[in-house]
Amino acid sequence: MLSARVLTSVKRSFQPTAVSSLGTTVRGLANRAWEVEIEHGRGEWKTYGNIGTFKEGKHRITTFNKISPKGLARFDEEKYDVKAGEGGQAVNAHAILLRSHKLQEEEVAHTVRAIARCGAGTNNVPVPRMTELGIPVFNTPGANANAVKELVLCGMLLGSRRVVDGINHMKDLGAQGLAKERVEKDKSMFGGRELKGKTLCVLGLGHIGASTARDAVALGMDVTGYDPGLSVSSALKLPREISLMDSIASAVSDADYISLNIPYIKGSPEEGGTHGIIGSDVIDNFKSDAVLLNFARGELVDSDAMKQFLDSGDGRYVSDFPDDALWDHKNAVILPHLGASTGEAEDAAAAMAAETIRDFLENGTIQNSVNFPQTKLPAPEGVRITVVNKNQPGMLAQITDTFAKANLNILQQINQSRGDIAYNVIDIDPAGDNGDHVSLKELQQEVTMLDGVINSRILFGTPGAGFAVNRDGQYFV
Amino acid sequence: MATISSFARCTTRARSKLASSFGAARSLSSRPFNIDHYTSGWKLDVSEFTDSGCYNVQTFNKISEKGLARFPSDLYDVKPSEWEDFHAHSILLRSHKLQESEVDVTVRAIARCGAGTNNVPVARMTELGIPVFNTPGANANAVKELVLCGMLLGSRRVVDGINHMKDLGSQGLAKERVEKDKSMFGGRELKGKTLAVIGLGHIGASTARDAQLLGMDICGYDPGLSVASALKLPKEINLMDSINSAVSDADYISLNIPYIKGSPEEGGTHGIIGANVIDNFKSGAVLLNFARGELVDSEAMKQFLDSSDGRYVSDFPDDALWDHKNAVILPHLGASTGEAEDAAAAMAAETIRSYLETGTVQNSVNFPATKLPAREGVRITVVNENKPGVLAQITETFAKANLNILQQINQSRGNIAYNVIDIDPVGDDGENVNLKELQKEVTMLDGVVNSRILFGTPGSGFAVKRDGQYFV
Repeated sequence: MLSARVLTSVKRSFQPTAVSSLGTTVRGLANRAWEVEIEHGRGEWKTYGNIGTFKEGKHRITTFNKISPKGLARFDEEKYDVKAGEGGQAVNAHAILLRSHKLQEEEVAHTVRAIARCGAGTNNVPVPRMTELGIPVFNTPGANANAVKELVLCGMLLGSRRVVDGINHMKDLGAQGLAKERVEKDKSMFGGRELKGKTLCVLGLGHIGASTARDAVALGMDVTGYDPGLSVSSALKLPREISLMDSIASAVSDADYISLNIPYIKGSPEEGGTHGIIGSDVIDNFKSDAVLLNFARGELVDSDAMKQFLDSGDGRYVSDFPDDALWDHKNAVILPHLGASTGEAEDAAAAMAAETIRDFLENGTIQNSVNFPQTKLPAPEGVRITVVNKNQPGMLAQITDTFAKANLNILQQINQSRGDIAYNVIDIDPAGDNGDHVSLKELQQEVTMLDGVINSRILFGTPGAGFAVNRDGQYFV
Repeated sequence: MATISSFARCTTRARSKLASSFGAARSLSSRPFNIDHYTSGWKLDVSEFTDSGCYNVQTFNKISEKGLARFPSDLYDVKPSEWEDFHAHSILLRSHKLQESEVDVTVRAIARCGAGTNNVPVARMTELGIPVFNTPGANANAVKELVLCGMLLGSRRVVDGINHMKDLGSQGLAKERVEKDKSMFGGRELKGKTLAVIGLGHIGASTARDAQLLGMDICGYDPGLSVASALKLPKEINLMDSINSAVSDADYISLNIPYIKGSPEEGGTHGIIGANVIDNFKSGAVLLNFARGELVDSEAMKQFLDSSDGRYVSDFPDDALWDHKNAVILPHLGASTGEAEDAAAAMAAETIRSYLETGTVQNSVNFPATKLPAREGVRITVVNENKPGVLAQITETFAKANLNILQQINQSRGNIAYNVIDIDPVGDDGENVNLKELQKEVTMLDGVVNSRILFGTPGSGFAVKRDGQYFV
């Protein structure tokens, strides 16, 4: 538990280190040298173990699950210390990187500034609670897209001819020494149809859906799609031959193949969620031999309704999520959750997560967050301060007022909000009325203890320094 | 054996039929032509032939109905091989292993719905003057889609994973264990990898195009690449000058070449992917064989799979590899789609029709491609052994009969030659000519195997010389 204060004395030569990460440069004040006092690790942090296991003066990263070394290599060694969370060695982390580990609140130390999930879905992270605690949760949209898309393609083909049944049959025949004798006769049990000329319907047209649609067009399919939240930038990625439909029911009604590529949001569709969104009312619109591909989340599909469909027609269900009702259905093909299980995707997701964390820790930039608003204040000037507060009236005024009362000039700032949370990035001229010396210790305490503020950071000096939290009315720094 | 009255009847009916078939009208004298049809010598009850006045098509295996519908029912009689007392003019089959004893003396042509013809005794059929046809390209999309499936099955342990999920399911442990166990089945992506395509015909080219669209780098090898085939290739393809150089940088290798009996040294392709080629594979290479099992030396493949992280994915059974953990063996499903079955049967039917009705040879694996556009006159086809002097003798026979040849074409291929001759049926005496003796004389020339007069009742006019005997 650190009780010393860290006085960061800044000379011109130190400036590039503090602000040059990720290629940003200091403008305007480059020729000035100044001293900035920041607190770090003053008492009363809850300690989750031996704080000395993390190196001083570095950003501390804790990982859960096996994260790709190529991705972790994005954290340069001089500024980052990366440890595995399993085994209790990594404590008091500044940021958490994980894959599918189910994160518990008690594994999130008070010192955590950010959490990044290597993957698209964040169902394994208690996101609303993290929002309350002022901790942004990041994901890696698109990093897995190619891996998932290739598996969807595989799934479409596995749903077109009885390939897996055929392979298993060949093993049976092989065990009896009858393979060559029986193959031509028996193969008729496993034939089917081609993709070419058929219609694929893609529900959800993000990275994975768009990529799937493009490939399907290349393979000679007609493609329709549905996505109520389709943005201009997403639309630019779609094949122009796609027919956009105005509801799920109309989209699926003419489809030979249907791919689900939407996120899982808790709650029924009536409640605004996507649980069981493919239920009997949608399935009733399926063609009798439609192939449903679910490489998004198991709970999007109502298994019992799907079972009835599979029982009554020649349709197929192909998914990489386990299903208690369908795991042994002759018309279902259930893979393990392999959608992102390629070396390339693991590297890409880890690298993207690492860069996201770095950008947040070093510049205060927020991108790819599932709970915080997208925020970027380019070209840092002076000393950068970030403030996380509850999204309620009057906060911004109070924060800026605090700076004004301290006679600190705000050079530039940005404020964004999303749901219950708001986020501010403020660059101040560190020269107060004292000339080149400013102590931000009291300012930080004052800002952080404002009613409604959750935490603040001063991005300056020693990596990892300058984080202050207002928790249960107590001040931690 | 036709009586005059029935002959006249046939002729009139035939005239209107021929006028409608293939769109070519012929204006002919009103006098009937004399063609023998099934006079003595056939070891058959000929009345079944003469009465039907149809081309007979015999099928082995279940042929797509959509394909068989290409044979107009007023000209063609289609029966399965189980039908008794049916003497075929042509045979349509899929993978049935055709025996010589199943090929009637009356058979003019055999068509296989598919690409390979290993199930037909082609060399013997050539000796008998019977063209064997296949359906190049009809199955291409079906095979290509299965090759694509195979590439993906060879990239992550999908099938092992599916079977593992069934095991877990039966123990009620699927949801509990899936995230933990999935790491046993992960792998890699296709994007950015290199695919080598050996053989750049319909299927190889189609595979190359799709792989390139999926973000792969493509190289290929095909010593017989024609301009027409090259036009179908993705322009990004790197053509290599040997199989070894093609495979050496490849992460995926697709075999799309025909099976030809004999070792590579003998000019065949048996075991062409042997130890010397496999030694050039990358250690993680995935070999895809959706062409023919015998192209790959199983023992050499086994050694490769034992010693590396490579994969073998094939839709042909393999006694040495069927239970190898790095092999994925499918049933022979490459062409097992409704679309391919329809396309192959339709193509085979059209090929047969074109041969029977106009003498055109296309898509044959043993006869030369031959097409003589339609015009007036009577069309006669002659199949002969490809040796010097036969063509001269044939044309001299026509000259001696004072028959003017309006146009003709002659093509040869290997041991066989094929002629299509259109004659002016009016002799120099203004009379319509008796072709019975002409046909006998031509057919009995040394080296001629059979002949056909494409006129009159469908199915008539076929004459064969077999073991020195004349059958008509």
